[in-house]
Amino acid sequence: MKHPPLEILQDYFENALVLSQEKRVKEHLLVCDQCSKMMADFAVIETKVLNRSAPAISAQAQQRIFADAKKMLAQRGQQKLAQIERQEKMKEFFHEWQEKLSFDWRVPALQFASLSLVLAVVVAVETNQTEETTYQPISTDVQVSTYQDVTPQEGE
Amino acid sequence: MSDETWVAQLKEGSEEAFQALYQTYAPDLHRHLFYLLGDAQEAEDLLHEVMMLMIQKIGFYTPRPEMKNSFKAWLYRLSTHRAIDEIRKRKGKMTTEWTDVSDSEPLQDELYEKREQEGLIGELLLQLPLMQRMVLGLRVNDDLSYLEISAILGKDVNTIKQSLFHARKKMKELLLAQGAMA
Repeated sequence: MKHPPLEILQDYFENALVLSQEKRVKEHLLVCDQCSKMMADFAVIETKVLNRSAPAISAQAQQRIFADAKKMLAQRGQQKLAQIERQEKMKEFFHEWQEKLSFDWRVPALQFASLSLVLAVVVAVETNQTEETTYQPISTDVQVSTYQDVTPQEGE
Repeated sequence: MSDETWVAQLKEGSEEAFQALYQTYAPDLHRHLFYLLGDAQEAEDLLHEVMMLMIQKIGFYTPRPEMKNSFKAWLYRLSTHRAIDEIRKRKGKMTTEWTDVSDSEPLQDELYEKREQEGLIGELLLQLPLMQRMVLGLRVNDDLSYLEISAILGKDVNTIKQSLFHARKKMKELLLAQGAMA
């Protein structure tokens, strides 16, 4: 007689099989004493293990757990509060500096830009004026003096 | 309220949430530890440690949606690992005392027989290899699924199934040897 694999038998015992498989195992168990005995043994062991009672937690142990948990939670609460406080302080510090930086940089930057513009205008104007005063007299003077000296006079 | 709600509140430091989670899980965890260690006092001490660990490590817990009892599995993982450490520490000095010796009242026959039987089962369970003992306990006593046991012990589901089968087979042999099973 062919027997189902042990894993299938165990899954049957655990109610972990799909219906079709479960039906096949059930049919097999009806005709196989060996597998039926195995299932019965599983049940006996389960009952014996389950029936073994465990002692209850003593009132003293429970009190100790609650007292220590209370302390630990309070400590954690304080740590958390201190952490939040630190975070808030850091936030404030950064915010302050952010404000300072944004104010301090905008005004001088604007001042610097306007000053540069004014300077640029002044320099441009100055340059134009210098060009006019420098070239005009030199060119006319030289031309006049040169031509005057070299050109032969009529009747010479 | 659901576990996840209490867990969220415990993360915020709520004492009420701790008490609620304690009431829900401490008795089962204590039984699980007692089952693994075989000593009521040690199980209580370890339960204390596990409860403190729960507060310390709650920030690391993330729910696993594929698991029905995700938080329960997480707690069992904490306590199982702690129990394994303890068993390794005292290897060779394992106690086989399972009955509650604090009772000084004479026991009635039926109760005495039950206690004796329980003591025997406890001793036999301690003879199982640790892995088999843990799997059998988690499946039979704590009614956890293969998937949950696999998450607690960090082994794949097939290994869990095999261990469970071997645990039952070994238990049967031990019971037969003691004449406690036909």
